[in-house]
Amino acid sequence: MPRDTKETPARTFVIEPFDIMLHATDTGVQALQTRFGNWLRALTSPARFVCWQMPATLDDKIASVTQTARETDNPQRARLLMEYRRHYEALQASAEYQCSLCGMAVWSDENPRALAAGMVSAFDTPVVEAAWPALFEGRYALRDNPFWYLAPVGRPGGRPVWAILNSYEFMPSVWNFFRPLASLLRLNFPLALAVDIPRIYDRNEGIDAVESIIAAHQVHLATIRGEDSRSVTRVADCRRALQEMNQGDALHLAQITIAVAAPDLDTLKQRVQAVINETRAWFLLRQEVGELLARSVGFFAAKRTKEINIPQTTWPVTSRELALMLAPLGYRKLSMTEGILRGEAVGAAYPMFHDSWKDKRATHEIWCGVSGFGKTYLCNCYLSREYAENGIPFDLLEPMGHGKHIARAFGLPWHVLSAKNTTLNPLDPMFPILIEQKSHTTRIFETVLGRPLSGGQRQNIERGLLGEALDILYRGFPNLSKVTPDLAPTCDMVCDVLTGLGDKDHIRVIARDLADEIAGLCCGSGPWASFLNGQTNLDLARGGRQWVGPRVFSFHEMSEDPIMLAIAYTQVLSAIRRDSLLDEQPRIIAVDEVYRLMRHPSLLDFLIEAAKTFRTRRKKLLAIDQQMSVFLEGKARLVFENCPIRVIFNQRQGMNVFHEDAAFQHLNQQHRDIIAALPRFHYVLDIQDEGLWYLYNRSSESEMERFRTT
Amino acid sequence: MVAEFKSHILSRDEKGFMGIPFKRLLLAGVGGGIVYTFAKIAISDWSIPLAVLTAVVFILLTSPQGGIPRWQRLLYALRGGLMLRAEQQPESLPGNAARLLELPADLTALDASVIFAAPTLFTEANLSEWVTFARAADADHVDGLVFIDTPLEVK
Repeated sequence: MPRDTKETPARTFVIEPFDIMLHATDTGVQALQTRFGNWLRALTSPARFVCWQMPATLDDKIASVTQTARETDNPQRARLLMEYRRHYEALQASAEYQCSLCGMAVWSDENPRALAAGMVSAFDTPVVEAAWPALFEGRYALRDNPFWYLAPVGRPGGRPVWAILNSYEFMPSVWNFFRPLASLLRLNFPLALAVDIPRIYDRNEGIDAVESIIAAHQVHLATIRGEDSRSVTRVADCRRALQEMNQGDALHLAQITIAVAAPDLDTLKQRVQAVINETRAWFLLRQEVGELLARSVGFFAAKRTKEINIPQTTWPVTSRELALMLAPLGYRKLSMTEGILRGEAVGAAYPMFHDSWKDKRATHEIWCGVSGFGKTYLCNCYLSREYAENGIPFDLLEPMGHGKHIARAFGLPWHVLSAKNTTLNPLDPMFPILIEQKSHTTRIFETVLGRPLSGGQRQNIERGLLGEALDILYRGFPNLSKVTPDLAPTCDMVCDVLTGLGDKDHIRVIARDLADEIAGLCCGSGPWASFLNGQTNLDLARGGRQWVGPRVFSFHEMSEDPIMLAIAYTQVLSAIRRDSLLDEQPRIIAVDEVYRLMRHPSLLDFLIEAAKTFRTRRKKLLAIDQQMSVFLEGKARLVFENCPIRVIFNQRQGMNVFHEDAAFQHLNQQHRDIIAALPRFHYVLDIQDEGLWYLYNRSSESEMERFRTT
Repeated sequence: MVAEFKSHILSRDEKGFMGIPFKRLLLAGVGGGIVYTFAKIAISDWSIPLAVLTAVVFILLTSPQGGIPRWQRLLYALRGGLMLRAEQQPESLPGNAARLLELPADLTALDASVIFAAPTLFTEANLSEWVTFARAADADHVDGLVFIDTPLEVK
């Protein structure tokens, strides 16, 4: 028996709609219906599902961009902002946006958190216990001329008039997640839809009730002469219902209520007719009159059905049928315009904005995808949008040479690191504390030597000797942060000092061997001598500046040497990390092909540490690579776990991690199928605790003009 | 995945005559019969026409309109009209009728702040009643960490 006693409290929940396009395969929607159906089967108390839909515009975004353009004293940003304004205006002109929100009320004594958790797992979308939004604001009055409607009392102030329709008959028709409710939600006017479930029959009770109807009809059919097709159909329907109930479905009484708003009565009449026509093939609607209209407003509040007290026109449906009435949950619309445009939803075609700077700390991101599917292009667009709209500068580190496009677009100096012309002294102080600096330099030497300086007796001695040498070299600098590149010790000095270390013969031998090994690689005519031994000739210093603008570092001229490339990445990142300690100004550090750094164990340690420092200093790390698997192996996982935002492009060759890794258990088979078959410029945006979006990078004309070659 | 919706599996709607379900015909027949019985006593010449008329009226008024019988829908419209007149002209005849019938006049004016008020269940926990224990077994003793409303007085 349903547990709807008068004392049972109403628990209201707000549900963030998800994107049904992420389930839009036969098996996907089937799985969705099964999950929804299972939740409904377990429901024992009265419940009500509501979806509010209002037209939305990008006006706020356009106004905010215009305002920022007016306020900025940077002409380049102002120009970019006006380009984005035109883009948003073009988007708005080409579409009719809506925003939507869903809610569920359950009259139950169960713990609301447990109820919310149940809904989270059934609907796979965020659900929180919260008050429902009001259908309308202020005072309204009943009016009966020319038809029954609700009119605002006092100054309308833009408040619409409302009519309410209640379902009274469901037609024998086929429902799915796309028809009829989704098409109803596509009508671009403000409306709200409630699915009231005032009673749930438990299994035995439902079966008894249906069986008694079958018995009655059979008696009737046995006694009449001629044909009674309705009774025959009714018996067949009852038998189908029994079969579904015997498979575990519950029997629910359900009624659909639709509230329609319009600015004037003529429009309201047209809209009411449009709704009735749109749904006529699936269910019939009655436009409420008199006190029924006033009472029906209660369907959009946490008011129990008995208290609403309108004539009962509910319809018995099984759980699998009722599951399809929750279809509006799958239609996420324009939710907010704060933040940066991350793409356009595939299918629904609404722009998706996200503000990743809400948190006091930076929110790192991992981007992965096969080459040629639009990572670099999106990265350029994203950096450009953040810079224009939020004034957030960036550092782009990339190994392919395509940084020139963004450098050219922003008129930035393009720092190209080359094996022939660039020198990056590994002894440049990057850490203010000596022990950290020593550890950093040791990591670089480990990478150069291609072996760890730990793990064995000899290696430990070598590590100690190198540390001692560095100690001696840095002894003359009480404040490491004041050491400029021209003052920093160099590799040959390290070798010289190492040669003289050791108080025992065998230690002296090890020290000399280590000095020879380092000298052979980094000094004289060694393979990395010109790159490592000398004064750094790339300006990585902040130089007392309050604000450091965007910078682009390209490493394509050293890409043939993986060690050199890894060290170059590390030194540039170290310099950025060092500067980031000075302030908490937001900044984005985009590292393309990050695996080139991560494959060296010592440098991976540095990246893990740097990611943590960047986070606390509001520096967002964009770690970009081809395969997600590189972020999940060994210690690299620590970087992955620090990145709550994942942008996943086509992963044709690396799908196994999405099946096997625990971090992707929230993805279902349809998500994986979508990821495996993502077309160019399409990606899945996975934001931890917020949701999944299937997006397309619809860029502005000016972005296309600037970055098309990437 | 789809679902084929069924007819109303909890209602009986046996075939009647001329598209009118049997139960409505039965009601009309019973209504006509009762009227005929009483009319036969009072106005015997008019009893048959009256009974037929009553049966027709019953059939018309019980025909469903928007899922509810026509008489009920007309009644709600009438009640609504009276309620509105009572609100607009309380001293008029409809106003007096509405008062006499105790119609719910409050339904003519809806206040969003009342109708859509949140259920008063979002209450914050009273931390002064919250006791923290390092181990569950400590709950047997009174040695947990207790949040208190005000600082303790120093003696």
